[in-house]
Amino acid sequence: MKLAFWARRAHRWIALVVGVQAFLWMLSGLYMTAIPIELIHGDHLAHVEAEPLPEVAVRADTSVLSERYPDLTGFRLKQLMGQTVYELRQGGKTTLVDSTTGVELPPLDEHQARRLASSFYRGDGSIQSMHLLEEAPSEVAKRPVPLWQANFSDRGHTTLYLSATTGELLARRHSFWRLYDFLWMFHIMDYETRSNVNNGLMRAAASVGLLFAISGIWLLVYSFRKRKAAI
Amino acid sequence: MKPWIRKLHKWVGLIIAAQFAIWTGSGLIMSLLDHDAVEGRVHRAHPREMPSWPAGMLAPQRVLADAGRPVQTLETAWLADRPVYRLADKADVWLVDARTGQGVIVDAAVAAIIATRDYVGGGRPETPEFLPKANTETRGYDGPAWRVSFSDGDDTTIYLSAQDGRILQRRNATWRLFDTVMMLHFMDYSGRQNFNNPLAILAGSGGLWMALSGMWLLIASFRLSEFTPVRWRRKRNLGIYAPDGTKLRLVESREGDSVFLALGRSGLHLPSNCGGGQSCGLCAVRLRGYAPPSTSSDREHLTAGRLRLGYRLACNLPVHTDLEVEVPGDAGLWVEQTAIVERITAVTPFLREIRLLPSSPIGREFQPGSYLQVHIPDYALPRQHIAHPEEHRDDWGELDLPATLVSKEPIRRSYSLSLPVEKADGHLTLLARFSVGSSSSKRQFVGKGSAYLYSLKPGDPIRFSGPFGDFALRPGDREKIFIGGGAGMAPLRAMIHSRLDQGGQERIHFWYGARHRREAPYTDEMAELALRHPNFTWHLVLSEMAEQGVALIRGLVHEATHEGLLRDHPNLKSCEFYLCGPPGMLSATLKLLRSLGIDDERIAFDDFKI
Repeated sequence: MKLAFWARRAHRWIALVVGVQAFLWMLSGLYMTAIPIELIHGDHLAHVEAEPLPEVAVRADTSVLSERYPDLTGFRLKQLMGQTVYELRQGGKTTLVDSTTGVELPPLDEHQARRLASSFYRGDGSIQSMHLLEEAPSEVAKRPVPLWQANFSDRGHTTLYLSATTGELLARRHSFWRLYDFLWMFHIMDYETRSNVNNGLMRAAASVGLLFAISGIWLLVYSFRKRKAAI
Repeated sequence: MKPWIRKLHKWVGLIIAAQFAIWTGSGLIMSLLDHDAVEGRVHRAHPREMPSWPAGMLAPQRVLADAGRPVQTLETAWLADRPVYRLADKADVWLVDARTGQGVIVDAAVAAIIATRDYVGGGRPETPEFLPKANTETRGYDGPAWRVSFSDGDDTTIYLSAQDGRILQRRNATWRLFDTVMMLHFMDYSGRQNFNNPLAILAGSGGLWMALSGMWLLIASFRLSEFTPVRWRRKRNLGIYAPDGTKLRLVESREGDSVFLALGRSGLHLPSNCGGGQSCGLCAVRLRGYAPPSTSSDREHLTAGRLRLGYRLACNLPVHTDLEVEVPGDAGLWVEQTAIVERITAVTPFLREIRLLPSSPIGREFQPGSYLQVHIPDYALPRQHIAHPEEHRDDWGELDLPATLVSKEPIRRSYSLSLPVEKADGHLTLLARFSVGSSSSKRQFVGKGSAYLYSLKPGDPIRFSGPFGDFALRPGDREKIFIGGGAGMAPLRAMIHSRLDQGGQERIHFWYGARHRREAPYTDEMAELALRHPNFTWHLVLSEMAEQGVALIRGLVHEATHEGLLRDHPNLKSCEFYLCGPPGMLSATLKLLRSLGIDDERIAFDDFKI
């Protein structure tokens, strides 16, 4: 019949245009739904445990600190590797100060970063390499630098990123996350930043994809039709 | 391999199609909605520069000592214009005035100030509303919160934590649309954010199957030459012949098209319900001369005998050289004919004989066993237009028909001839079953062809094409066994009349199955034929209620035929079999005949295939 004829031609030719993308959508979508997001986030790989602040360790006078750091906009008192520290904020800059002595602490050295990374890590590997990075790699593009990259020797190729200035755990990366990110790139079709869903290619492909779905539904009407209604 | 992939593609498609449309549709909407608007950045004020931390504040160690409970972090913050310390211990967060050390409560006034400072745009804030427990719009936070709505066109709503005055979310109409669409995309209809749900995984698996099988089908169904524009491809001649060898027409075709497509381009539509997708098997044509090897789709739909004769599916038959094909129904394929309804006879409650007078005399291609396609226009019929004789009132009373029967587009339905044309004085005689769906559902489903045919009255015009089909009497005088049921009466009756009228002297058996006697058409006529022709015998088999009567057999027609005839037949292998009936009856009978070792060559059948 005529309509069935056109429905099938439309479905086939549209499939030619978006078929591969439809496959990538389904494959990436299935991966994203089937793998629990907690696993992707790597909650099982690293854990930050905070101890209560010991009052006795806080001796440095904040008014003295205010004088020493005239553009101080605020601070934070926290525990870092058994030591109580002030994290001072001056505009965009952050400095660590020992809360007992008031002495400014240098950025984390490799030994400290290694110890800290190991204390966060919950997997069964060990640190394979440590790198101090002044430029953030693309998998942690938006995190502040400088940062320490701790690579672990486990099956998931876990990498923990720590801030060299504050010792904060900035990100957990591992094979599942990297594959997720890679597939996400195909899912939203932003091959550069992997984050812009408003790109023209995506809009065009989704429009054709919708047409594709409609042509398929249209075709279903014919595909199930009886061969003969009655003899 | 291809036919089952096609079938599974179709069936999984049936389940997944709507969700696939939702995925692409919602994906499109999410892609079209500006991400900055969704994230509430349009009405968000530029963050203010942080002022210097004032001198003379309470020492942190004092605050810790006064807290009277463990504290994990302490940090400075501003609650509107008030310097505060924000203390946290696990999930608990609280504020302390940095000057006095007093606890600070985030009240409506301060919530309004914070929200207003965060906002740019023409809206005015409404009175903050306290939420003891956060709602779905504050995703991921479930403590107490303040909601500040703004009277702008975007329905901006700012949520603040009532614990520490932090801004939790900036929501607006765009976000709400995005979120609803996201829910449909994720298939998490309660929490809206868990895409790791079994439903989504299941649908995703189905979708992946659709994509994989679809790509396979695509690769298998496209021919390389289809990518060359038509005018760059070589012209090929496609000769169209009638089954009797008459040349009907020469169609110009391009190399690489399928025969189905080539005919379609010329406006000649072969019978097809699937539109050339190798799934209905209706578009078979016979190649004159060399036929290429059959494909799996050909084998799926055509019998070995027909394949040997050169039949192939036109939709799966590429044109590489000049071709000559015989098409079923020859000129009837593209000639629409008209007729006038002359007489309607309700032979049983739900079987109706319709006698048509064609507008122009019809040829001898209208043989018993062939069928017509009736062209059914779109219609909306009030139920009253379907009339029935008084004696069938009870049967019709049991149906729950909708008030109006509707068919939205023109369709074609096939009906076999039920009497030889010569015997009917040049008339076409059809037997139409009134097909209704199960009466258990609330609204009864009515076949679109049935409703139309049952609304016809004598004098009404009707359009049709045809004849089609390869179900026909074979020449020769082998013993013939007809087995049928339901509306399968039609072609078998036509064949039997035809053969007896020709003076055939071979034994002819007709075993016909129905549920009740009331549902069996032409019983008197058959009994009368059997009296007149000693070589013809007729057996009515009733499956549900064997009423009183000597000639009645109770049971299923194929079983009854087996017991009453086939089991003790001395020379079964030389008999010819003609079958027509509902799918269940047909497949059971075919299975029986095959188990008896009957050669497929000796079996002709017409199915109501679905």
